[in-house]
Amino acid sequence: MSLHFSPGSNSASFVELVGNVAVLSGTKLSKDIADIFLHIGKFPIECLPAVLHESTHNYCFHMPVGHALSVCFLEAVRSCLADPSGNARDDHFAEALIRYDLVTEAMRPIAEGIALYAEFDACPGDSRASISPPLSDLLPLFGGSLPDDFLINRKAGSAIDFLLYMARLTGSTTARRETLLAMPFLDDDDGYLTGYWLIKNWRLHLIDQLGSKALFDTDFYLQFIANYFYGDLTLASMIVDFDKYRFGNLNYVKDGQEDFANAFLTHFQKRLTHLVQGINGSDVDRIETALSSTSGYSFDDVQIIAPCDVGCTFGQYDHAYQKLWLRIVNVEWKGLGAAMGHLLNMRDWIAYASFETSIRINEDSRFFVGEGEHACDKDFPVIAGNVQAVGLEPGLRAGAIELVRHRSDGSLKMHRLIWRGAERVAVLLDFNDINQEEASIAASRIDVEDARLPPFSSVAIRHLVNGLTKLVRSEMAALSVATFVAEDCKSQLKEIRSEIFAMHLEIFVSKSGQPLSASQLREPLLQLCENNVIALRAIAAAGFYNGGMLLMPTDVLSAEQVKALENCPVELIFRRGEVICFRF
Amino acid sequence: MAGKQYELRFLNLSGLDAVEMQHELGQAARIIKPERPPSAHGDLTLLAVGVVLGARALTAALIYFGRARSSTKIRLAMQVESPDGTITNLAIEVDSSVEEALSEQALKQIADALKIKPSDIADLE
Repeated sequence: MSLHFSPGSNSASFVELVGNVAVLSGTKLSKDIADIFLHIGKFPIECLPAVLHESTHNYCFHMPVGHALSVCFLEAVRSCLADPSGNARDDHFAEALIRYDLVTEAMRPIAEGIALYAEFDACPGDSRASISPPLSDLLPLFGGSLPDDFLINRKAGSAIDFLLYMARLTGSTTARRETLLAMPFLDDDDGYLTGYWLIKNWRLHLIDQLGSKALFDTDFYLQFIANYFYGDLTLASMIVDFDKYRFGNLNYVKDGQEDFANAFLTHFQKRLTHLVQGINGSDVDRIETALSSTSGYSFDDVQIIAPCDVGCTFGQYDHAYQKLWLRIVNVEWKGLGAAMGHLLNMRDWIAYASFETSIRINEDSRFFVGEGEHACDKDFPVIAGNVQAVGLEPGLRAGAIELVRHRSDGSLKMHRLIWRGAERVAVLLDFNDINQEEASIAASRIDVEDARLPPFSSVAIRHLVNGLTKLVRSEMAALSVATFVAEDCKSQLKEIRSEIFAMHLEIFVSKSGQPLSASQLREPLLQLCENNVIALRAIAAAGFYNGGMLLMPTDVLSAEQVKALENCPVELIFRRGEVICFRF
Repeated sequence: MAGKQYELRFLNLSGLDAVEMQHELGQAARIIKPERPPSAHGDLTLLAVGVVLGARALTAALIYFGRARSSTKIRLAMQVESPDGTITNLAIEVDSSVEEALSEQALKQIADALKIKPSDIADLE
């Protein structure tokens, strides 16, 4: 299976959290496969919004909360495969899975909101913070779409800015924003509008409260908010701590222990409230300083701890994480422990392109890509090169070709990996090196045996995660008590999640000057706006300019559109001095 | 989709367009959301609206798409799912300055792409 859906199918791009594997969709991807792999910076610009969205999910899930959720899921797998059967095993296994589901679903609107914010609003700005990883990756992926000589005497930030505006103004951004506006605020399972509205309005609220200059930089805010939720070491530590936190509905909660669901939901609510009421200017300054370091930053430096929270250091979290990690990698069943260890390590990588293809190796240790019957073989010219790995047998087998990048590698280099099954055949920074003499490419040569390279292709990881998911979900379905508890937990969470987010949306959504009730928030926005479709189309088309803050809205909107916005019963824009702020 | 009906799908619509179009085509039209695995985190993409293929649906759709255009020509990317499940992607172009009705022009082009007679699909609604 390729990591890209077939051309013409109606499929979305997505990231699967456990493996942190991104799957990008789009007909252009298959059509432009040769450009993607054979040239640098020639990723089709039409794919930029989806790339940015999924790259941001990958970036968030690469933070402690993402890693903690992944290891928690794999703890369920470990328990299922390795613990002696019995009630204790059933309860522990179910608890790990319910814990994963609970946190993932509660935070889903936040995850989607951050990704949509990156897709629609984030641009490099004037803060001291370095450019965020999702935005940094745009240059090596799409830089070929820049006008010739654009980069001469210009900083990377302005080139990324240009790419973003080019994609947002000429591509599908306005239509994608209109799709978001056709949704209700509450009770959409993914919480797209909930999350985006909150993420966008929290920034305007913080600017109002703190007047912090750094928050005018939308890319700094993207990193600030992603770290606030997914870099939260207290939550990450809670997820991986099976000694202190137990799931009360399944296990007896002893003295000194706490019920996980209560502790998590209390923490989550406290954190949301603290963002609106408790952040101060020195928190923002400290995080801006931490993010300005060119050699990366530590999660300890970007913690914001709400009052009454104990807080947690990276060392404390990592201790609990490693404890689970060790148990997982020591599972002996069919070598699955090692595979799960690789899976956890591979979460540091993002595959921006990954296609299944055929790889043949001949007697002279030359490989040939694209000779077979896979869909992408039709679009991909057959290419040949030298096998870099030692001891690979000749023969034709299914494989994959991937464009990947390590999240912590500051060099922005994309690796082109060629896989035959689980064998890493070759790795190149530039496909033009493929037929060069050894000596001439020595400088840019990567050692194919380098242990830091991904041990499996993304395709293989996704197969593995799919298999493990099927295994634990079917095992769970066979446990009657656990299934009942899980269902109960799911329906309770749905209600609680709606209540929590309704409370926070109330601050930023009003109709005719009055905050909206939870039942009103369940209506489609179009209905709430009394079918003022002109206003919704106007805000979809203009709300992403300059982070949603415009001095002269008539620069981008007609007078009729501005009037429709002003007359809309739901407050879509508001004024701060001379500036018009867009809530969407 | 059931029986001998062909489903016509208008692709790459925004959410607001899809709601408006569904309103124009009637409740028989359905909004098709993109597919992705149940628990995955993903992007919104654009939507499609599916309706049973026939002259009436085509007329309504072409009026809808023609409204905002200044040109006499309407070019549309669409998809047809045949009763046997085959999916055909096609692009049609109709011109209101031509004497022939827009829906007739569209039906002929769709039938041509499906390799069937226009009369086979004109009255299937």
